[in-house]
Amino acid sequence: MKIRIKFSKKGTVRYIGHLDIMRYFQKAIRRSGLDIAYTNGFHKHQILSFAAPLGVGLESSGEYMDAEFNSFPGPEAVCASLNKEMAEGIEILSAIQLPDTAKNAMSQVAAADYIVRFPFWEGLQEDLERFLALESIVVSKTTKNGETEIDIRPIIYEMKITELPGSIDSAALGVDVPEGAEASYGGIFMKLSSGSRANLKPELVLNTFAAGCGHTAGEFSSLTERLEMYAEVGGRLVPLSEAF
Amino acid sequence: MRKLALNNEILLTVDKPVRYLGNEINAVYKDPESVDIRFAMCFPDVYEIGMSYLGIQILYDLLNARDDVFCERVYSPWTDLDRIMEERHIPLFALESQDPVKDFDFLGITIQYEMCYTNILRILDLSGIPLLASERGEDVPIVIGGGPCTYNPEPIADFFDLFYLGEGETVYGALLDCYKANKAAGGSRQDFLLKAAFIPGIYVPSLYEPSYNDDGTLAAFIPLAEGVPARIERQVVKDLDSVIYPEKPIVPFMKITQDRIVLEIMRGCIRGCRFCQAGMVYRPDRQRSVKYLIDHALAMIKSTGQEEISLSSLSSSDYAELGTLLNELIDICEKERINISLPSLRIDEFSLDIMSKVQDVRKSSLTFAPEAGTQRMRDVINKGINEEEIMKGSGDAFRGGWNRVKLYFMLGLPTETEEDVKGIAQLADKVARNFYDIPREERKGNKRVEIVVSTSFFVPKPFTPFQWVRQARSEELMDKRYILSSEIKAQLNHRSIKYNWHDFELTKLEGLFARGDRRIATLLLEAYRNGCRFDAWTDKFNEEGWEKALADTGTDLDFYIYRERPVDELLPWDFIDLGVSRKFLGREYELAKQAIVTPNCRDKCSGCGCASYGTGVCMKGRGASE
Repeated sequence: MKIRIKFSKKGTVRYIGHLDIMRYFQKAIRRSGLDIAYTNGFHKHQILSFAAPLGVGLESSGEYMDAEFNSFPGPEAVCASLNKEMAEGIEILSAIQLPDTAKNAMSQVAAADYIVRFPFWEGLQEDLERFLALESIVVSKTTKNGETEIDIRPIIYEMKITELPGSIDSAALGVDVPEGAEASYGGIFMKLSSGSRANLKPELVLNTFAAGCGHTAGEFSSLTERLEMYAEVGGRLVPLSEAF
Repeated sequence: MRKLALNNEILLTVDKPVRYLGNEINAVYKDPESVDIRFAMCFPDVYEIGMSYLGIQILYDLLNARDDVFCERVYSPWTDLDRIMEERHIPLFALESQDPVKDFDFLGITIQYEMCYTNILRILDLSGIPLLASERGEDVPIVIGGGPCTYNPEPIADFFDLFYLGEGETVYGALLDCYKANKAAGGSRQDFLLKAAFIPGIYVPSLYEPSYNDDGTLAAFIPLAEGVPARIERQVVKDLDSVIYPEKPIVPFMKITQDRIVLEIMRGCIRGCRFCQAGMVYRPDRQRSVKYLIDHALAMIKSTGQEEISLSSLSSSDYAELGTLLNELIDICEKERINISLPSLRIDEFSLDIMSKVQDVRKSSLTFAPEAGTQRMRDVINKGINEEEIMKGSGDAFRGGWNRVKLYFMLGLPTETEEDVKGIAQLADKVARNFYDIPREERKGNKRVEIVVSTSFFVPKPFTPFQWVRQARSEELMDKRYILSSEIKAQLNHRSIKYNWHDFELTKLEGLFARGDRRIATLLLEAYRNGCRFDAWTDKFNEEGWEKALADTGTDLDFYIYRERPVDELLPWDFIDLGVSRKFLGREYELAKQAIVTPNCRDKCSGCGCASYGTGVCMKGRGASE
């Protein structure tokens, strides 16, 4: 049976790359004693897949993986058994059983929410309004086939200030806070297209926005957190934990 | 967020930041304020190498089992981070607390191979600890060295406050108690070192002074303080079942070199190969019980979630109850879906049967280590394997479906002739013929055989019967390699034979550090100042830096490595009582010259001297004769 597990990744574990996180979970599931299914063959592998890799340096409160279990002891039991095996910074948030016909998370991902926390500049609110009023925002993107130009405006579904300067303890973020900028940290929420069709990274949006207003976002002084991932169901975006 | 020593920019800029984070499953955390002693345990190479080494994990658990000690890990930062730390004056830190190493009470460095010596200096330098022990004050950690290279510690003696000679399980407790008592009594660094020198197995280099003859040879090695022992005895564990072994080894996030559970089944080796330092310095052969091993395997499987388990020893086939152990282990591993890897097994019917159970025959290869190409040469080095056994083993394997064979050899062995070198190619060809002589339907349909011949260059090591021999020069080694390579091409089945060789640039340095004396320290310092680091990494090896250091210091390679030493010469490591006696080594050297083999310890005791430890295989022989 298919089980979808949601977890968060915060603090120092954000420097651990996707492949290492996969290995980490394979071992954690073994330690937990949960009844996961294995492939056949000489070297047996757990049937386990992740929704979307998270870039090194990003935090998340909305990561997903799908696992095939032989038996399912229930959501609470799975969360409890796995949480006993977690390293500091990684927490299992939920575990739900999917119908056997459900598609895997990786193929479902259509959008994701992020919050980017960085030092706000004077007049950022107005700048953001102007940015969002643009009909098209063309950026060049390096792909396997060289440079291409894409319009990112249609794949920015939402962008707004959700945390005002003064509401964030910048010292606790774990980023390189520029001197004098301690109190200016705020957070911008973004809902962006994600997944195989059009994958838009929040850093690209932030850099484009900042550059357009004559600022730089400060690569190492900002912290991005992925909040949620969505599937498209009947023309609506539904969180992966409810998309089946 | 947990405190990190490196900032966000650095962690996002360097390769594999996961090396520097700590926080792995089963890592131990304590409140530094709550302990009396902070111990930084270091493997002077990059994380994925250092974390693969079992010894640190044993010591980590052993030290952390004490409430008054917090032991943390330290590895060499990779070259990208190294540069940043130097530029920005970031002190080297321990993984767990991320605190600077300089604030610790001890820095323990395990020394597994000679070519890590410049990395040791780098560790000290990055920590802000003066390189020379004589220049250290009260405010820096006591620097301890341990591991196989300490059986000739002299080339690095100036950089260490003390060396621990022997197995870690034995006297660490006494050493730490001594430190605590000295600290409580308000004693100085010097007071502690003087007291530590009286603990068996502890060698404090500053309390001894070598003197030299006019020809450069060692004249005497004299203790400088009243009552300090003139000879240091290597400490060994008597009963391996009685000591601590990891039950919850650390599970790294990143893929490390040995990415598996390691079960150390025995220590020591009964074989007595004359080139092999490990076979001499870990004597006597001692084995753990099947029960102990199975209990620990189960505990580690549960606590780590690792997908593979490996047996560790110098010669697993010599483990007396291997069949029982493996059958129990295979049952467990099938149930838990864990792979078993079996290194260092002798190829025979039994091991082939086991291997076919735990490996995919089509994908795995067989390894033989004849080490030399002719029987004469194998008798010289006392390698107890003959052609018949190789043919029988490989034939059985080919019939079992294997078609890949690795053959390991050494070049530059004492008394080696052209015929011995060519014998390597001929032996490889015979193994190939052996394959093609078997009717195709009997070798599971395999069409071709793949034979890989690998050669490394022999380096004479202390405490072996070859500790007196002349090391072959680079030009000789190059010749031998060329002869072998041509001879392989001349074989009937040369298309089935692939030849891999190790570089020989490192060979002379390895030889120099293996058998050098205290005066070699100047060379190391000079090479370090020339930027030599990570010498064991082929792409990092700085030949120019080393050549310049050799020239500038006037290091006489003819004296140190290219000369046959008289057996009565006082050797720099003679002050160490390793158990294996000089008399025995000399006798073995004579037998080697005559190509006479010595039986293994189980068949017959050859009186090497290790029976004085009163344990292991030495006692079994005695029990039988009584």
